[in-house]
Amino acid sequence: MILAYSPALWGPPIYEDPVLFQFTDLQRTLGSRGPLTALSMWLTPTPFLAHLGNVGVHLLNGVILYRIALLLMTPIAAAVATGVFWLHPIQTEAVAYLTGRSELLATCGILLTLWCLLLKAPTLVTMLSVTLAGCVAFAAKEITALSLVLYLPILAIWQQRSLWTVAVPIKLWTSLALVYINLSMATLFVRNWTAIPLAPLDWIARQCAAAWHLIRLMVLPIGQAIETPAAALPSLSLIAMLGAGIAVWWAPKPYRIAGLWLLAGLLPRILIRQPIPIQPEPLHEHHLYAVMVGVVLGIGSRWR
Amino acid sequence: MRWIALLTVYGLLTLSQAWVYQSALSIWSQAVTHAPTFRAWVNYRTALLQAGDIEGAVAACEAMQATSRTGRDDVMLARLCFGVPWR
Repeated sequence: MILAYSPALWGPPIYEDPVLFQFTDLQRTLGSRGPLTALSMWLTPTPFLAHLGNVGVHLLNGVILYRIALLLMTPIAAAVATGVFWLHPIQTEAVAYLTGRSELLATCGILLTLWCLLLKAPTLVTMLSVTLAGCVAFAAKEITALSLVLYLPILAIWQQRSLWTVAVPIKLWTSLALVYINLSMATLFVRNWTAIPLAPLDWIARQCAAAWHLIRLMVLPIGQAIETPAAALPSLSLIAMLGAGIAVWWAPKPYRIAGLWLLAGLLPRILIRQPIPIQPEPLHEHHLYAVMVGVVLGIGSRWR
Repeated sequence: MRWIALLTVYGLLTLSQAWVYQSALSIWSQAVTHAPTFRAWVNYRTALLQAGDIEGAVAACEAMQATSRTGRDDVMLARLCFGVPWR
């Protein structure tokens, strides 16, 4: 895995990356949005160290994913799932592009949350661990952590456990998500709502078109780019996404888990208009990083 | 065995994609090939200028005119390619 990412280690900061190196003061760093991401960048102040940090977090995420997979499937299947997570080309943008650090850290928090939840019966210590790990995800990237509210019930469906066992973390996460949406995003949305020249349904349809492009890249990872192509057939993409959401419910269990996870990961981004004043930001490849966790677990569980 | 083959293919594709992240020029060159949006052309033009390729930057400006743009993009196009200052 390290060999596969080695060419990127000596790459310069590109596009949005230079902003990440502006946090030279610790107090400003901790007060920023995504304080954990800013703090981690403060700890890796040169491009080489920052790239190395990204690869390190990706490596760590794979190890935690393997521990989770061992609790859900055979060791060989767990190894295959981890291998795909580490080496799938769709992960390159999150790891090689320094701005992907927030996705890597948020996914680390998500994985820790799921691991804590799967390890033991829901005791107070487990719940505290789940909350702490969830806070790690939230402090890295809020919009990625929002999906935890949806990932936890999917895990309960997978394990055929009562939703009660995940009820406490769900309540905690729902509360945090609501506070986040109300306090942080709402202000920005109101400010930028009129600046986005798209009706809400058109926005959702275009994001669905971008999501289909990403799904195509997951299946056939050829033609990757840091930019997302212009949305093709947005109306049809929206209808197809709704159809896929319904169809996935009747699919075999591994595909159902993978499909539900994918929808849960992309839904907050599709529904919440991102507050970009210049132009609507389409879904990008690094947004699929946390989504790949469920996809590799779901598909990997088919392996015997 | 087929999983080993799949992981090998994935590893090689990741390696080739990681090579692209070695410079801004290679990243935006790939972007205008696979996703030729206005933003990709703007960044490709900037990367060409930084690399000292003036002719390439002029050609990128011509390509920018052919992409679909918003009104705000038009202002950026005028500023970047035709020397019209910000008001």
